[in-house]
Amino acid sequence: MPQITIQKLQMNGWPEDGDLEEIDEELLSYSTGLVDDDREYTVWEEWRLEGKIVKRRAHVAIKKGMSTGIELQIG
Amino acid sequence: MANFAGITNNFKTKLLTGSHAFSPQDANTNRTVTTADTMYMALYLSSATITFSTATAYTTAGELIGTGYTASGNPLTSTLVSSNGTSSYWTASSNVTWTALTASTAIDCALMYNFTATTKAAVAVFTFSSQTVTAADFTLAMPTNDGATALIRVV
Repeated sequence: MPQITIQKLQMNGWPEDGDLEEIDEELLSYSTGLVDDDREYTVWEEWRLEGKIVKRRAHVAIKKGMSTGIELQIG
Repeated sequence: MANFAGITNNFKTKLLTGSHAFSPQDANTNRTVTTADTMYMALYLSSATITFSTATAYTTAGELIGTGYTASGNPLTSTLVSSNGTSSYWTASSNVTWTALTASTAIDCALMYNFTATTKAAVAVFTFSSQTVTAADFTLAMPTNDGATALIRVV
């Protein structure tokens, strides 16, 4: 069975912060989602145990960077 | 509190004072700096106040603290400045990834700054949807390096 690294954290609803641990991936529920707007295309994935997040990753693609201008002068 | 994206006002000044070198500078009889500076990207909490209009330099205030994250952030891979004739632009040649990261709280901001500059001068603020990361990777993927979308553009 494939193992996956997880961590139980208070911020995710666990009673206390735990250490990294390995667990059978099939014991976890998996979901994914995305944010797609003019500035980013973000894909997140999360794995839950007993309904609480134990692993979450995010891939944020910056669609457009930042610009500064130099005023055009004619004549 | 919130983070606000944009080229920093400070960057515009420092551009004119020759304080940033995204590519090696031309030879100059007044200066001997002919190598490119190293740019860094640091991550900030959603509760931080990193704003393009006031950010002058890298700061630890509001910076992410977490396993897999080192204060100061990660370097951006250097590449040459490009031009399409009307705009000049620069984008790091690789995505920047924090591996096996556990963020203590949500993040929604990255500050790009000049790590080589003594002042750690701020370049630009990028914001994104608020994200938590637990025991996994967080990646900031670079945009297409052209005159319309590059990471930093002078138009």
